[in-house]
Amino acid sequence: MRRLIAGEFHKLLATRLWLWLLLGSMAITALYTSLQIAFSDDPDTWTLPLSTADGQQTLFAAAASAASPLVAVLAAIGITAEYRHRTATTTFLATPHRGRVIAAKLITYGLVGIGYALACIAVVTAIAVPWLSAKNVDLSLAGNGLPATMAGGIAAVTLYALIGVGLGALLREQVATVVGLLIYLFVIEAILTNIPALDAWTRYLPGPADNALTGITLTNQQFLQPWQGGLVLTTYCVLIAAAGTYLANRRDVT
Amino acid sequence: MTDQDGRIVVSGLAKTFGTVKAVDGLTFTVEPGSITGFLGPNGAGKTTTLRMLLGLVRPDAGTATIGGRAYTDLPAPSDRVGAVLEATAFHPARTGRAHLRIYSTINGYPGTRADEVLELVGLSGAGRRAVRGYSLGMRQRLALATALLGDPKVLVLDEPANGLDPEGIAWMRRLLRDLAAQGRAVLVSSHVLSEVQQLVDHVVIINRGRCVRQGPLTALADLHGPVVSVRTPDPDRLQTALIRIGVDEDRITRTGDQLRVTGIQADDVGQLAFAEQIPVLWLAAEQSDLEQVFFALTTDNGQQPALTATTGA
Repeated sequence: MRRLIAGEFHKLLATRLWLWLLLGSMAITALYTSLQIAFSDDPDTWTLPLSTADGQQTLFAAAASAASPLVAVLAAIGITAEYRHRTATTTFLATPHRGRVIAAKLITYGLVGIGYALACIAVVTAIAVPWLSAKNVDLSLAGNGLPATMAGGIAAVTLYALIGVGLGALLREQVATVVGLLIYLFVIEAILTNIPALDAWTRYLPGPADNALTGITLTNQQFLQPWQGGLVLTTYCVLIAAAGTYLANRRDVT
Repeated sequence: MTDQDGRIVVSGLAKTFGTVKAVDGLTFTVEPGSITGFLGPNGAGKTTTLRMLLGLVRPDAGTATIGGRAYTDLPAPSDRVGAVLEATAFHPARTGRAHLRIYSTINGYPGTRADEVLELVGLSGAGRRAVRGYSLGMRQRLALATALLGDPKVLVLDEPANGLDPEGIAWMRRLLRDLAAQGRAVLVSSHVLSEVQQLVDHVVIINRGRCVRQGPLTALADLHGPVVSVRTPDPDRLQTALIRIGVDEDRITRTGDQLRVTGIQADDVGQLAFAEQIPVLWLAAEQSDLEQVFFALTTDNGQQPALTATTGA
């Protein structure tokens, strides 16, 4: 398994996509953090003031998990590229037990997710600490529940990476997987979570579960407890990865 | 490793895609230490058979084993079996060397192995270029290099000459010959007999998913019998004379003043012409036309009972 994971890292690093998506994640984090701090005094905002623990947790959580969709896309591309470029044949010849290939990809992209999340946490910290200090807002990285938030952010990004791998194994078609993933995250989920009457159900969707896990507080939406959010997201992840692995084993590689 | 390691046994293999029976109860054996041509027209089921042999496609029925085991049950399969199934299966942005290093890593081969196989297939100079800039011939070489990473005893190649220029085909023949001379079993598929005719010792010919012939290439030539070409100013009389001594009319083809006769020795034609006092301008025993035998075997209309029988396995 160690060799398979090393091989997956080889594949990932052989092209530059990981770097562009990492830079993209960090840029989104920087943009979000800057806007959030710049307009934090706006009374109409859905987030709590940055002087509160909930407000700070939300800032760090949202900034850390900015990497989630991009990591999911990277992971989905990583596995569907095998089918698109037909390297699946070579890969499954080297490792006829396809479940092991998918396991190696899950571990690899899980680790990549951790790396992305850490990079985004570094960005939000680098921007928020001096800026909030200049605004005379008291911020301690060790306090206000921020360690839990950061751990939740890392877990969330990692789980999205695993969902990306599972979805790619399930669908195989690269464009369909990536477009489907993005449409779901940015269109379907956005519509559903904006209907308050559906709130009791939509809190179990991946995005709101992600928000719950990382400890985001919004004034216009209710989330599950962090542990419940983590459990819900993990359940999605396991179901999709299991279905993807099952089908990868059954399907003919033609 | 014993010889048993390289024996390929395909038994009752069947696969249907939708309503199309791609492979239909296929049975054949490939002995180790030989080059076997796996022949059949396009759509005969060659690729599906090879993919079932290599555990990529799940058969509906039957088994395929290499050295007594299914491919998926082989420990370290890349050490034993190298396969080239398609020449276009590369990530275009990776370099040839990166591609090889990835699969070296996965199989636990040393990092230097990639450079060794690049050298072996004559791609050393192109190893650090992205595959998107490779010609089809270079991709074929890279695919072969991938198959050779584990120095396997068995090579399975699906149409490896596709896209190669004549020089490339000659190169591929030489390399495969060298590899077989080192004691490897090579199974190479083609839809053109002439492409592999000078390379293979044995043939397995399939049509519509079934084996129509297997055995030594020389036995295939004997199926057709000898072929004689003769030029004479009086082809009508020679043709009549040939028919009189029992040559079937449909075994004589006439082009201008030339007759082409199958199933008869040149000596007999010469004796006959002399006895009949027919002048002969030119007489030649042709090499058996294997392509025609192949064509007859794989064309449903041209099927003759004597040709469709499979030799005992």
